[in-house]
Amino acid sequence: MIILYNNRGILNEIEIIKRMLHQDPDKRIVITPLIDPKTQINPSSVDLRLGTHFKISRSTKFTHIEPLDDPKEIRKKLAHYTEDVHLDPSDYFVLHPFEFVLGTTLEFIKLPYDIAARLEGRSSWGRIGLQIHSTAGFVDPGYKGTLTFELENIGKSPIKLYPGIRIAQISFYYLTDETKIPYPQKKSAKYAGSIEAKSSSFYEDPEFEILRNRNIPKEDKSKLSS
Amino acid sequence: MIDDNKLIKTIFAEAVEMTIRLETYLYSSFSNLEGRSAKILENYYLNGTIKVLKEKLEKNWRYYKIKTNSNNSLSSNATNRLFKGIYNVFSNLKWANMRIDFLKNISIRPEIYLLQNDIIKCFKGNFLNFNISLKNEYNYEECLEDLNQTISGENIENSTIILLFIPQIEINNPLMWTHLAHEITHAYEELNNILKEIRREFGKEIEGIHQERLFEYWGREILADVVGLRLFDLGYYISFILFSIRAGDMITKCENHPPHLERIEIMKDLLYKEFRDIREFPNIKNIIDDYRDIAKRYADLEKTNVNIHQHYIRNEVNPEERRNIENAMEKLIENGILKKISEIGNIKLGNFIKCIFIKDFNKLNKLKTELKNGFIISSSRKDLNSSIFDKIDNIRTNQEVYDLFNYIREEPNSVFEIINAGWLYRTENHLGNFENYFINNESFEKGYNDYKNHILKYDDILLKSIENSELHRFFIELGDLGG
Repeated sequence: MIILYNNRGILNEIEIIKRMLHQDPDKRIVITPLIDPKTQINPSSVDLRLGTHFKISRSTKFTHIEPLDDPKEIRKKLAHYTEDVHLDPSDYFVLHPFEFVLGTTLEFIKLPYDIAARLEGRSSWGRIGLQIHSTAGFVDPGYKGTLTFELENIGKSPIKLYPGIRIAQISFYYLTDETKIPYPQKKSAKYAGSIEAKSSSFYEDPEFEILRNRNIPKEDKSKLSS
Repeated sequence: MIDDNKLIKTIFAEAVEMTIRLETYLYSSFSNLEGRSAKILENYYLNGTIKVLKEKLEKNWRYYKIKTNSNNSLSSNATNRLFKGIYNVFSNLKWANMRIDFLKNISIRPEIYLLQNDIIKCFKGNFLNFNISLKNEYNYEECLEDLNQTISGENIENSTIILLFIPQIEINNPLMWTHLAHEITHAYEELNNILKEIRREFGKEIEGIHQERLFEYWGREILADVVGLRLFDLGYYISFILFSIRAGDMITKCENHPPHLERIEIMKDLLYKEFRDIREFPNIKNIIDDYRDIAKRYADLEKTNVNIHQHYIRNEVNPEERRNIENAMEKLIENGILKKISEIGNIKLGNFIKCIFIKDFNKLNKLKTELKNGFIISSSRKDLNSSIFDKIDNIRTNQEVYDLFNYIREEPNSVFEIINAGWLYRTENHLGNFENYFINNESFEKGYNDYKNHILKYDDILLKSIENSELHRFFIELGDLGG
């Protein structure tokens, strides 16, 4: 029987391991594959590795995304203007200065209902200009899937990224109590169960559905593309 | 014997899945095309071909729902009608696959190469260079050697490259990649020597030019099946049965290939023989039996409902020779020669194929449960001893913390285990999922889309599992990663 501390705050390494080994699957934190625990587990976080899948925008004929268009059409447009890159494990990806691509964690994560998490970069990579997310580093309790990196090189020289390198870390936080609506059960959960880097689904937000139904005039596309 | 409802649901699920895969392939393919031709093709294929296929599926969906309303079992008339309807969809799909051969602008995922390399590692000795390409069938071709010889008029050493073909629509479906094991075996030169050794054991049991020829062609197929079983066991067996259903041909005897139903019977016997402890795992035994029954019943319905050549022999052959070939075919089957080839072959191949049948059903069942929960299965942790739970609450020193790391360390699963667990999950849950997502839906379109999301999600999980397990192994090979 594992005793869970009632401390509320960031989980330390022992609490993280306890949660990973918990007998009750609903209480368990899953991080798989954990290739090298000795290297990856830090005092209050776990290092995450870069996966092999990237999504790149092909923007040469792309003016903007009209959020009020039919979601099916937007999805199609996004597919047309996005290129998927799957790397061989021994291959690499070059991220040029000021380039923005989506990537994914190698690890699959599952959080219990009483723990949230934050995704952060690692300082070694930050010092050469690699950002792993722009704004969205928060992971809701109950989340299950890989995490999408919003990779950007804000440095001056290109960065060679190899699959499997540790570019991020995740820290875990206790909630004051279990959530009653874990992420996958939320009606508007758009990224639950993601396995690959997933493009934005902002246009599926209910606000846009309301605006669509109100027939708000769309922007004049000719102006935007001129 | 399985009931007709289960049979119809199985083949219906295959027809829907193939349509989903064709649609997904076309969609990705057109996303990569630019300009006016992309629009024309998109209209023609996505708004034309797929629309027609979906209309046909919908017609069968409605009929199935009416006939099974209030849990009625299917009458013989309803079974025949549904069989013909779904069979027609398979024929259309086959036609459509042939006509999209020119669409090859989709990059091939590295996972196929990872699997190919893992298969090749199981063969002893030097092996040829392979490359993978898309076609409408599983096949292999020694391409570069032929081309170089034709152009130069002389033998050029080390120029052989084998092209392995996989059907476009299976590009992201690792469960069906088990067929690569079969095709790769055809390129294994040692196979000819093994076949010669086996031939010697039959002595005068094989007689005449036709039997000799069939022994060589059919023997190669049977041996390649044995390799498929040795590497993927259950996975190869089920994928072969579903492949035969999708191909819409269970009974044809042709000169190059023995009838699929016969091959399935032989594989079933071999699985039974190898899985000596099969009784301890009734779920595995049921799967093997059920799928054999599905194949048999499918063959019955094929014989009575559709016009199919039971013998497929070259056109240029004269009637007398045709009769002789047909007789030779019957003799090879009736005298149990094919079965014997598989048994002797299994023993002899043991010296050349390192991989043996997977027998850790406990592990497979565990991985299957993980898949059911939507987890990736690239690696596994050792089972924990309960004493760890007491230890963990009394950690005092740094060393004790480091010791804990050993308990959460994971070992990569082999691609063979991943694919087998995938098949196990699929077979145990597939019809239930098909029923929930597709049949029980009020709207055909919604059912189709829900089922599509489900199928594509599991493709992604398996692909990610294969990819991660390779990367995991790659890091292990690098040695201690430090800390």
